[in-house]
Amino acid sequence: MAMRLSLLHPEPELPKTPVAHRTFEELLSDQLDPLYRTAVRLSGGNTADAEDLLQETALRGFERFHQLRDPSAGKSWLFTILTRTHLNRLRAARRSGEILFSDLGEAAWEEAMAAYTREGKDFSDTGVGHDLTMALDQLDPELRAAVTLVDLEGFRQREAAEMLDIAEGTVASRLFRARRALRRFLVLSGEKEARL
Amino acid sequence: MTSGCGKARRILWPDGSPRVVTTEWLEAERHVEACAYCRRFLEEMVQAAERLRTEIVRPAAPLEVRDRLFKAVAHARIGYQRRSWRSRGLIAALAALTVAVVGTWWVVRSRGEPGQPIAELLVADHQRAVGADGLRSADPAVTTRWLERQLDFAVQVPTFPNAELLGARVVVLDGRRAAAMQYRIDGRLVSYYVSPVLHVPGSAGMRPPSPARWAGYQVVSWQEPGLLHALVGTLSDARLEELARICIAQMGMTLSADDASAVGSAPI
Repeated sequence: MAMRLSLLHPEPELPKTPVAHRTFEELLSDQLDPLYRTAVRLSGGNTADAEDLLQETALRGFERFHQLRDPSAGKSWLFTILTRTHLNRLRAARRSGEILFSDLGEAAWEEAMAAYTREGKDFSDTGVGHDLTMALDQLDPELRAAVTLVDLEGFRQREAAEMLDIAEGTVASRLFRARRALRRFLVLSGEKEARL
Repeated sequence: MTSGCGKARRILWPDGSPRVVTTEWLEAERHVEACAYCRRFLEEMVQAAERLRTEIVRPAAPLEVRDRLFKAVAHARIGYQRRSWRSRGLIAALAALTVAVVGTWWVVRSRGEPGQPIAELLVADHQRAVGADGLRSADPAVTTRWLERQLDFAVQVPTFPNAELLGARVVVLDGRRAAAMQYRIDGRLVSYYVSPVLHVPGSAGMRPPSPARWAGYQVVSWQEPGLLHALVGTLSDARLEELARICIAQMGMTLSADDASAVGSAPI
């Protein structure tokens, strides 16, 4: 057995090398934290729903793992399953009477962007410390999904479009509407705070 | 602002992908160069994305969520394997295996094992370990020193031919702090555990490498007085046993025939 040695300095950590995923569990373990936080955001901050969504995603992924041809695409493949599972749940819930979300057409989107006014403040002007996470959780689920995949998890808009099964322009329009709504929230909550 | 603002903003919307330069795109660029409102708009969209990326709470998966998830997948894997075997007409083999597994489980339980069978514990930890916190180092000496600071027993970090040491963690197995080292061998992840002796039948002395299987993973374990060693991964039994022999040789351990006959058949 090895000798005991004392150590005065902490060892430097080596960079993580890419993992060639051989089993579904290895892929899942690698992506678990990003999947979990995305599930939490897609579920509007409800961790119980997020865990349920994550478990369904994991089991669906396990069943379909043999269909994954390119191991390097494992991350977006898992996120696609997560997103589609979430959307299916959303659609099922809406059949029972919730208000439908509607996307903007190209002309309406251009009009909305042209009308976008800064009201003297932009994202960087609004106070830090406002609960941006809470504001995100209150957005329409479709807007929240676009922001979560693109702004939070760093997927390209094209990848998010494939995951959400919508046009790339629709992702861009949803991102715009989400950011506009979040800015409004930040401006309003900043004003409210100033009045107190 | 002009009537062209909306169109220019749509065309130049920042999406981080390479652009194809078209006449329309050039016109939009010219518009933005001349329009301060559009420049501010596009800048603000980039700022918004950046602020969201940095300020939104990004929780990590809690340990209990991780556990539940991997247990669910392990159960699904067992169910999948059973269905697969059945479809190949191996119902008899399945029944025999089930009897063996249940028998092993029953023996382990009946001898006072407080939790899961050890192979299941090790496999569950191996699955959780990928990407988990711990020391990331490819240097056996560095890893050895790190483990020695964490544990109250000495651990030798073995070196295997054509293998890459990825790092080490301290894990809790059956209530005891144990060492877990991770390697990439033949392109697959392999965990090597050294733990104070768990509740294994015949655990007092030496035990030569013996294979076990759980949830699609191979486990080869052996024992020296006071310490259990195990290799877990998706390599074949034969390859894991070969690695076990390398470990044993590097540690200068010898397993006498008497010891082997005494405990060699003990199920893990």
